[in-house]
Amino acid sequence: MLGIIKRLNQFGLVGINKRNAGYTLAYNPRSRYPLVDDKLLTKELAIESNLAVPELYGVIDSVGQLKKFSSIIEPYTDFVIKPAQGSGGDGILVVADRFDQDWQTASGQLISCYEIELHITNILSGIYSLGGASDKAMIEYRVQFDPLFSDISFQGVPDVRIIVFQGVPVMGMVRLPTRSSTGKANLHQGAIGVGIDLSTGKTLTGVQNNKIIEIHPDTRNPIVGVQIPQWDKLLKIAAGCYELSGMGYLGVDLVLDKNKGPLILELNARPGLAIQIANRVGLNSRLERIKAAKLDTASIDERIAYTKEQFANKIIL
Amino acid sequence: MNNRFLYSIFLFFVALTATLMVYKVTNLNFPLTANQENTLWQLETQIRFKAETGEPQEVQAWLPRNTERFVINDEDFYSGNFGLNVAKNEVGNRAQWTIRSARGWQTLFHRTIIEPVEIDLGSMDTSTPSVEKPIFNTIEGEVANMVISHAKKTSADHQSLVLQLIGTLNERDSMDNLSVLLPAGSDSSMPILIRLLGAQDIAARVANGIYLREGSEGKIHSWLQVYNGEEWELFDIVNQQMVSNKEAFVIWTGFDKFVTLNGKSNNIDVRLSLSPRNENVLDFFQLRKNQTKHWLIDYSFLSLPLAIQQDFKILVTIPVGVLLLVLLRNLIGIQTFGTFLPILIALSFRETGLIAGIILFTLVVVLGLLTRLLLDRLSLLLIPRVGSILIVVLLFMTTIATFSYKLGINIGLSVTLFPMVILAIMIERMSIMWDERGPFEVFKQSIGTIMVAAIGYWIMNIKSLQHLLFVFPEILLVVLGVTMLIGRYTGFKLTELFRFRALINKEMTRRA
Repeated sequence: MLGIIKRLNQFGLVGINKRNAGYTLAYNPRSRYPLVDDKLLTKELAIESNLAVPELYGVIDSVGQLKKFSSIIEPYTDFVIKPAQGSGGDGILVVADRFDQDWQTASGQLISCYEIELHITNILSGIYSLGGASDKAMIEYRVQFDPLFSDISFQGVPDVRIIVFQGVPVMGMVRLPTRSSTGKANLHQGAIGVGIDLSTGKTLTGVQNNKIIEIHPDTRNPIVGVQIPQWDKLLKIAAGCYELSGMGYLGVDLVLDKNKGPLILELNARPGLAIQIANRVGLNSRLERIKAAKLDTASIDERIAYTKEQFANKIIL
Repeated sequence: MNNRFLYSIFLFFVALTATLMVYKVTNLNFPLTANQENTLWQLETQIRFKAETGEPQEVQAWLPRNTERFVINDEDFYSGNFGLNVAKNEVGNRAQWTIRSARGWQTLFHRTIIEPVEIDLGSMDTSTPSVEKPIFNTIEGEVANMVISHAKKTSADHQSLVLQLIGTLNERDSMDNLSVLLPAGSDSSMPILIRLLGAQDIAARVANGIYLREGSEGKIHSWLQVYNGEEWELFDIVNQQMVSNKEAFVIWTGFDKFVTLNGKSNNIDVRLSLSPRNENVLDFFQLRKNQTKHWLIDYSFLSLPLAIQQDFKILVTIPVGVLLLVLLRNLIGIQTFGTFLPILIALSFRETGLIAGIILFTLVVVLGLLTRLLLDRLSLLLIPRVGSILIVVLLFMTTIATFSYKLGINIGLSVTLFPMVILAIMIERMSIMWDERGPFEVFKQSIGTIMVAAIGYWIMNIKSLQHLLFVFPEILLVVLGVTMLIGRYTGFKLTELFRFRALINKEMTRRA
């Protein structure tokens, strides 16, 4: 067992205790947490900083406002309902189409207007929020993801997760939903994590259930060496989230919309560690290098230049 | 620097604890290990009577009090609508229940826990009792002199004199003219014994109480209590023998009845029940008697009433359970429902026992989840939904308890001790997790929860640990210190070694 610890340390793996004590506690000021935990606040801040987010159609913050719901969604045939303070993707309802009075979710299920309203009241009562406190329901634009990803994902929304430390993008991955993850982009439910070469924005090999894969198991398309479009813009948005949130250690979740380009989905003050498996690289040495480089006053462009220079990953098959 | 401060706090805690412990063990003789179990006696007095009309009623009863060899550790009253007043004097402690108007059956209740102490605590009244010279008429006086001189002739000391007198009076035919002193109608020789001893300047009185020894039942005895110049001695006049004050617990002295209703002792139903309780009690009074008065003893948990002491014994183990939880979550990486729910469950396992507790817990949670599944179809709002689950869980629990009681399984009764509200919320979270993350995650966390609860139960139930923490609560500072130290542990969790095991494969790491 000591051997395993030694090898994981050599590998530079950051564990959950180290992340909490060394990074989230040390670099993320408590007062800033509401900005990332409340997606509505994040959205407002992002709009102020001219960073693109999915358009907000409306907010329901009390059961009394439920009657506003039908007028909010009147002009649209598809939308997403999210708890403003949800965590881990819980409580997100993706509505893909309208059929007379009923609706169809992204997974093809038919649901009635009443069921949608019930879901909203569940959100309001705080069942999905972190502390169980009452919450708000956000109704927003449903991302039309870039056709590039439709070849390499099964249902759901593939997203790009970039870890940003002191404003410097450190590591990134693309999360691809699979049949076994039932359309969710959650790695330990069977989604594929694909590492990214930060200097070019090209995908590396993927990891599914701790096994290296090069081909998407459902669509049979290669997932290695795919160029993520508008990569520089993605990096820039991710790095900009440092100024926006004031969080030193941050996970930025982005999606690529067919028409609107990169959009910020949400920020995460406690980003997961599976990204290390997807990239097959430990975070430790990269984080230490950034600490040593003293980039906390550098401009966004300087920080991105540092990322591209330092964190290039070459594919070795 | 941050860590150095933490380490100094920790070292301070350790040093403080060590100092206190060493001092308490060496200077104050606090025991490091639990001593043998003491037998405590629980004495219950139930008084019932029927009040015919709505007239005022007054009930008087004698209550147990501290004596040379026994200490009252705990005392409860049930007085109903009666007003209660307790008068304490040298004769005894007397309870007086009064009511302005009562009709129908009335019940009064009193319960004490009596703790025998190994050493003599000394009499409550230390002054030499005064003797009232009895007045005899001429004939009585002659017979009395005869009896006394006969007894004196056949006895060697104070004790045998008393026994001889008792013997003489018990055998009415042993001497002529005894009927002068003991008229045919008198049922007890006690009053004349006291008068005869009084004539010899020996203080004597009636002492009433119960025997506290193996096999004793709750029955009031009257003993002759005689002052031998130093202390009171007890004599059983029926069996003509001396009674050890280690076994006889005197409740009151004098000819008064144990319980009276409006001054009379008939028409009232008095039931005494005496039951031994084996409990691990540290003899506080013994500890205290041996030392000079020390504030560390006066302000220790040992000075609290026994019932509270028993509660504290459980309370002091909770931090150890918390430490265990912290270890298992932060060092091992076991996932549980709710942060401290396993500790609450472990506490309820104390009442149910481990195996029965796990079975009952699983039963309640499974039934709760099934209910939740049914409620899902009704599309209820959250708070009413959790409320409904709570009510259903409560119905399950009471049903399980009733059925198991009828079937003669007692453990079912303690199911009601499960933290119900938390369980209901947990069931709701479980079902949401089931929907969002799948049954495997629910299963994993449930197993984790039960496992932590079981280990917690086991550790919190170690008797010597309970004793140590109860007698030396300063150890909790070290527990606090260790918990804080774990708060700065940044190494891997055990489960992470498994989660990231793929990363140490050659294949995974061949890239630079």
